[in-house]
Amino acid sequence: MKRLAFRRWCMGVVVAATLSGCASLPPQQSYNRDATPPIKTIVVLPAQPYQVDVLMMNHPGASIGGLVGGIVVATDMANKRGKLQAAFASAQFDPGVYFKQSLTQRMGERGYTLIWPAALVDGPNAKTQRGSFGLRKQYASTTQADAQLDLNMDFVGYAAAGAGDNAPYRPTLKVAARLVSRDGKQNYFTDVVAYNNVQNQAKVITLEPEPRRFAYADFDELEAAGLDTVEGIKLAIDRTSDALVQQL
Amino acid sequence: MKPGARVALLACVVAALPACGHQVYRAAAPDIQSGCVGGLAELASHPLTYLAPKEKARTRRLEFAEVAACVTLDGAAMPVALYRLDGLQGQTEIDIRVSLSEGGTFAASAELLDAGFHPVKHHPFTAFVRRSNEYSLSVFIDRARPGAPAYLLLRPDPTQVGKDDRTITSQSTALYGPGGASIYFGKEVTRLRPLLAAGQLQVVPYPAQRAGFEANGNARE
Repeated sequence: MKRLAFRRWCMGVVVAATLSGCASLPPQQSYNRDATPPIKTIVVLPAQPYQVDVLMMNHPGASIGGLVGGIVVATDMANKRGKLQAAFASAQFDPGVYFKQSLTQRMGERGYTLIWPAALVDGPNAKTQRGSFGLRKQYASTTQADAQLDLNMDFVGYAAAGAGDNAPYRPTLKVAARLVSRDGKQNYFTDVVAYNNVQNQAKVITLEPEPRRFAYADFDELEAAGLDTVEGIKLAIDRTSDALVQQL
Repeated sequence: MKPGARVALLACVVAALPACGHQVYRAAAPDIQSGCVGGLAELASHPLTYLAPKEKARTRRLEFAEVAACVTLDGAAMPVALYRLDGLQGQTEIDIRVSLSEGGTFAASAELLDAGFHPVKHHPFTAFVRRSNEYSLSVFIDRARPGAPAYLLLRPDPTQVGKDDRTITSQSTALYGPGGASIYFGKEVTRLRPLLAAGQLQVVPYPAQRAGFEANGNARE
């Protein structure tokens, strides 16, 4: 009986964690233009490696429970993830590269010049210490620019609220951003933007997906949409860039 | 408890859960039919103060109608909330939040005014940031500067009142059966929240200080 109660408690914790979006947020910091030295050039720091992903909340496999249920969910998601990654690769689409273009253009319109690293993401041997949402725990100083921008794509891909027809797959993007001083000591701005906040993550800047465009009833439909799925991610990235730039 | 009774009890609990999300809330409409004054200088202002030790920010949440008074501006009677900033010192971040609700969301605009009630800076509702179940706006002031803002004026943004906020979100349901079995369902839910000249509001000033790089969660509520 005790084991049953413990199991229920565990399941409750899992469900609660899923509903709340799991990870704790990095401490939010609004940008105070009047109290910040003038910024024209910003060096962008290498991000954490990312991969195109697929997420289904409330996966039916979770109802099986235990190790078997976990394997069912993981196998199905890996299969779907592989298909989406293959589709993006055949379209020669890299969301990180597109994000770079999108943000550079919009920041430029706002009067900022972004200086990007040669490699957008950390190499496999990087020892960067990262905290919640992949942002760095500490920063070195730079002489390259007036400030430094730490970006992390926490999720990029497609996500659905459930398995039924009333839970379509939609483009989904979650990006954490932090602007720090050139000496790496001052936190000028920190926030998280979620496009299609399917995890109901509280406190993040939330952007609504298009009600009808790029909404696919199931994964077969998503797969059949081909290049259209890339356009959905591009839209999510552009809207997220807009939201970030508006904060600076 | 017999397994059958337990299942029945759990079914009742599950059935009751959706009702929790449907508590009827209706934004209280501010009174603009009586007692309108002719200018901001005639209004009673509310002093804005920092949180006391152990005071929670959410205790400052209230209906706009509770702090609003009627004033006639440019020939039109409108509800406004006027906050006095003389209790704040130095650099301060004023955190303004309005709650998203099917019963009405306050489409607020915020304006900093000088001591003569002249506008210093205006933030329309579109400057508010949408955050899951609320909109927020950070307004920075420096009371140590000469000519610093003396008042904060909140009023409905006429360009947004009457519109709707549309949110697409997910809803999860879990059914528990005998032997610890459980089934999970998820669906997408679209919520429409009307933007009104009324609704819940929270205004909290904090001494401005930069957040650290790492902390266990967000220290601010």
